[in-house]
Amino acid sequence: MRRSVAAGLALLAWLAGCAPAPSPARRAVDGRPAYGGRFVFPVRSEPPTLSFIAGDQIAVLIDRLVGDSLVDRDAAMKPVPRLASSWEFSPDGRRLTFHLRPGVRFHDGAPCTSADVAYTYERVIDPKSRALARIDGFLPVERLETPDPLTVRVTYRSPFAPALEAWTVPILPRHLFANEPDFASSPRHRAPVGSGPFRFASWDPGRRIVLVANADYWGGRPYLDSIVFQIIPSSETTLQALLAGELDYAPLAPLQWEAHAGGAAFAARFRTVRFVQLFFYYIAWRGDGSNPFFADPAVRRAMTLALDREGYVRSVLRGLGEVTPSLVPFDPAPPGALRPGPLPYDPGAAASLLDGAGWRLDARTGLRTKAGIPFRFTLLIFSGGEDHVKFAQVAQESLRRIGVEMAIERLDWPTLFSRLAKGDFQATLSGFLHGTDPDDAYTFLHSSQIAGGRNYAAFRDPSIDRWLEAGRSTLDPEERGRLYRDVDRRLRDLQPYTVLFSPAVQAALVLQAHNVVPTPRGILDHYPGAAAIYLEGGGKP
Amino acid sequence: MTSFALRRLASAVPTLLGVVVAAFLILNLLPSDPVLNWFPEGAAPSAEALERLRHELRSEEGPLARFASWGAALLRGDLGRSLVDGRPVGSVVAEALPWTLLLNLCALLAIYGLAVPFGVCGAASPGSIADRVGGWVLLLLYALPSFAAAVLLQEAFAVRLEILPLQGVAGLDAGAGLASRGLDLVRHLVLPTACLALSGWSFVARYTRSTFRSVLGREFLSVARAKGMSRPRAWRHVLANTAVPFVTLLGGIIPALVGGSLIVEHAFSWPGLGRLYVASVEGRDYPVVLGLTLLAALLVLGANLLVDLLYLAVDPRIRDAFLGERGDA
Amino acid sequence: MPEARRGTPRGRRAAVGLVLGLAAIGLLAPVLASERPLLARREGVLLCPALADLPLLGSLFDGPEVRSVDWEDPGPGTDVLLRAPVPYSYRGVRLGDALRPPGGGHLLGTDALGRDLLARLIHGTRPSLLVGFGATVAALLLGGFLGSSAALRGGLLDLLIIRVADVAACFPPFILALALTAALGHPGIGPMVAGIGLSRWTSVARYVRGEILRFKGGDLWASARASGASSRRLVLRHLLPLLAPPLAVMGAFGVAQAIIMESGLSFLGLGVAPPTPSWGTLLAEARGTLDAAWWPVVFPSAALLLALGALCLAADLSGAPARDEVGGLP
Repeated sequence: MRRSVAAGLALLAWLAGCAPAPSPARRAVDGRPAYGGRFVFPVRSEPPTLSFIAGDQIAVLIDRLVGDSLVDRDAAMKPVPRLASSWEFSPDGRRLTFHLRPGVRFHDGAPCTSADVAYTYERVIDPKSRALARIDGFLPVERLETPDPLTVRVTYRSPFAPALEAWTVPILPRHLFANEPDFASSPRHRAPVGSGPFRFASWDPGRRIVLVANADYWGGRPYLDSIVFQIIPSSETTLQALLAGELDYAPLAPLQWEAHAGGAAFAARFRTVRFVQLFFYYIAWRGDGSNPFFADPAVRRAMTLALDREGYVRSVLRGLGEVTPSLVPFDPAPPGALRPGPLPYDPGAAASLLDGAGWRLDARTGLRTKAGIPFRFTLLIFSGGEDHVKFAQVAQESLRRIGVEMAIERLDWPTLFSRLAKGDFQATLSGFLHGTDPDDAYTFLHSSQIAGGRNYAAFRDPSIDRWLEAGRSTLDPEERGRLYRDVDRRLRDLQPYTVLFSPAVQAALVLQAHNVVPTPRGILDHYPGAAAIYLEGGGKP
Repeated sequence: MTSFALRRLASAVPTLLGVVVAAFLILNLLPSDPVLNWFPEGAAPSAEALERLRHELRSEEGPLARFASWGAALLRGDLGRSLVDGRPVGSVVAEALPWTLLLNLCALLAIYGLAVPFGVCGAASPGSIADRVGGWVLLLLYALPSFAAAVLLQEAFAVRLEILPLQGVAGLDAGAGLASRGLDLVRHLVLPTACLALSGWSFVARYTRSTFRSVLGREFLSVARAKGMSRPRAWRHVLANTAVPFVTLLGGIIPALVGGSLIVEHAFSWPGLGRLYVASVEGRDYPVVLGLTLLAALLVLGANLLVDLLYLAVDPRIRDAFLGERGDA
Repeated sequence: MPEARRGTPRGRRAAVGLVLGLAAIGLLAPVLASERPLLARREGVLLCPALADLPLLGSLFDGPEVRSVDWEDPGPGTDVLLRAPVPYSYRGVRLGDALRPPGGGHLLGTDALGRDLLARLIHGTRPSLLVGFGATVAALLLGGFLGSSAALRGGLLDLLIIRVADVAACFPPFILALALTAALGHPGIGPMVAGIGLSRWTSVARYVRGEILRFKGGDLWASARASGASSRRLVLRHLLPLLAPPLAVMGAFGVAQAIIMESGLSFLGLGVAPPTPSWGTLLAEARGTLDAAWWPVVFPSAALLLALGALCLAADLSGAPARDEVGGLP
């Protein structure tokens, strides 16, 4: 009887954990949340610095727990107020005004005001800060004004629909940096101070970074006493550490699940959380005529049809992922059935498309040939990724079967990037870490992005250019949704890129942990996210 | 002997200079773009952001100018600051160095402590069952990839038996006392040391065995034995004759202490220099790479000096050769 | 050592046999493991499709009738008369067969992409041995030459060589090999052999130099020199046999280390390009599946062990002639 109740509870907890968008205020099944406990969270690498401006994803994650941003995303990735209690756009869409929450204080007791927001903005756009990933959303800003300590007014050069995304950066304490001679190399980046739910406690180099609860947080003290970011570079060791009880959460590789996570002993200690990351792999076909193959949309369609993305997700990822439906991430309108899906895997159709495009099999070589040119090209890939090289080999075999010879060239990232930027390649397989706004597709598709941008396919289409420009400056979600669906449909025909798949993260979580909501950004990096997590009975004995 | 040591020390200066220049060359031979190493593949910056950053960096200095200013600072005893986080290179390196030295010294002791006696026994009775079987077992351990050995050790001793810690250098709940912290550290050392030693035993044992055998096969020994030299005295001669190759081997191993073992550090979350070295080479963090290389160079030079002095100590004939050379010069 | 002496010829035969066998596997890989049959009949013509991939001789068996057929599924009109011993291609991806354990159709199992592991191991032999032996021979020759020159000439040359060796020894071998290979330009086996070889000569040079210096102090040297023998001749005739056994051990392990290093360089795109396998890249791939499958780790390791064992056996025996000449031992 006890066992069945426990199983029922576990099932409920599992269901709760996997529900698409549960309310963050949801209570756990076994009563009220308890304060206390330590949550040990593994990270694969040590951040070089805890400055979110120059640091890596882990630095950003930690900074967003230590600091507050003006707005944040909830578990469903919808914008929610955080440091700003509200905001509004002017009717022409060029001006965005934030109203800050009164009475917020940094961990050292100093008040957090609009001056800190202005300071943060200035640091991000200052080239000396070496910001790259965070800067794009701030570049269209014309000016930023702070009429009073609780108001921030941002004016954009033209209406900018994705404006809010940039304001998820944590706000820096101006008074602490004021006396630092050099912002970029300030030792404060190794012990960040913010106004967020957790305070920075310690950093043992190469070992762990510890945050503790901010008892005076304006949004209420978080339940956990502390979060320990344990640095474990190896995925095998991460699994072992989970089994040895050293971790409360661990993302596991697909094969690790199969080999270790099936049994009842595992289920008695852990439950599963799962989410698909905001990341996809793609192949860009250089279509500017610099090669004789990919300027023709029919050839590109054939390439997509020939690649078994579904089979890769099923067999190699063991189902942990999904075929990415489109290059345009996230629909701002309610996700409807109107979005076209990905092209199917159909090598037969691919072969006949190639025949139709004039690429016919040459019996002497076994290769498709057109006007004496054999269909033989090189795919550039980044050498650091496992999925890159695996999928490239799958693609190589699939294409060989329809008479296309593809060589694989592995390159280190700087070399690869410089060749992509110069357009010195025929096709490339790469990955993209995207945000939640469909405007992210602009950089891949707009013709202005060919020279030096991320439009590696050298794709040029007047109507898509027009739709993307309109999508950027239209604030009405309905209208935007319609525009991006138009983009989607046309992309499906033209296939400048073959969008491959988005890997899912599947992680084990100790059964004692509650209120853990998986989102595309993980279990901590949303709002309230980490602040809402609690451990049953206040943590382990 | 003292003048010889002094002469060696003086000759270290050009080597150090050569090392610095070589490090600079290597960093420039590797495909590189420091800007692009600061963000991951999936998060490439926009062209505009990149252009701004390049402009900023160009306005700073070119690589040669940066190298020159680094060299000038070095002459003043300043190793510079890391390009990644702006910390002094000295403190970045000092954070990781003790961990690497500790682990590698333990491994070195474990390797020599086991492999040398084994190799000597093998040389004394080549072809015996113990020699053959042991030799193959050590080879097997060598051929087992470190990453697999690490997982096997971890699963057996940390997860199944729960007698040793799995990873890291200190437990989350280690006691505050010096004794309990020391014990905690020793326990954390066992598995990575064993993992490093697994791959070293075979080589050192075989090297020992073949060195001893080649000495055992020399004419003077059989002559001496035929003339009635006692067995222990003969062994003393053998030991004196094998010391030189050992000293040479040691000289080659000491610099490797600084390099750290990437795979073992990776598997056991050991905060050593290996990771720092690779990360700083990848990130083109010139000051850190040059600082690490200098450190390695100092160790190598120290080791070589030690080796030469040991040569002189263990083998009078070399001393004569050296002294004769000096007399010529 | 009666038992050792008795074992010598047998041991030597075994060692030589193992090395030659591995070399033969490397050379004949296209015939041993191929999706193409050894013998087939198509429209009345006898074909040897597998032989078409052989080095040098392959073009004799090649032709449109071989290339135009998908040999994994030849279709009607083609009779397969004799399949290759391992009837799989090293690059034949079959996602449905991913990570099959050994047994059944796949003697050593399959990898994460469903490719036959035995076929990949066989095809990985040639690049691995080429890099392993090539780089090691290069390192031994260069190190031996420079080390002996330094010791025999002395003076400025000695100083120079030892300084260069000191400088080279200050860098982790992999980083040195990486930089040298990258500097040699286009990726491939040749630059990789040179890069690895150039990064590993210093310990050989140091050892050879130390031993010659030691020998130079001895009576034998002085008397031989007095009788008019050239120093290089002395080294080759008398010193080399004494130096050989430790050098042989260094060489044997050098081969194994070069084979492992190759995978690191290939990973960075400087060595063999996928899908071409090598033992090192097989091991590197196995790492990703370590938690679920033992066979991708064990079999390439076993291949490495076999090669290393053969070399060690040979290294042991390289000291034998010297002993036979001098006779009795303590």
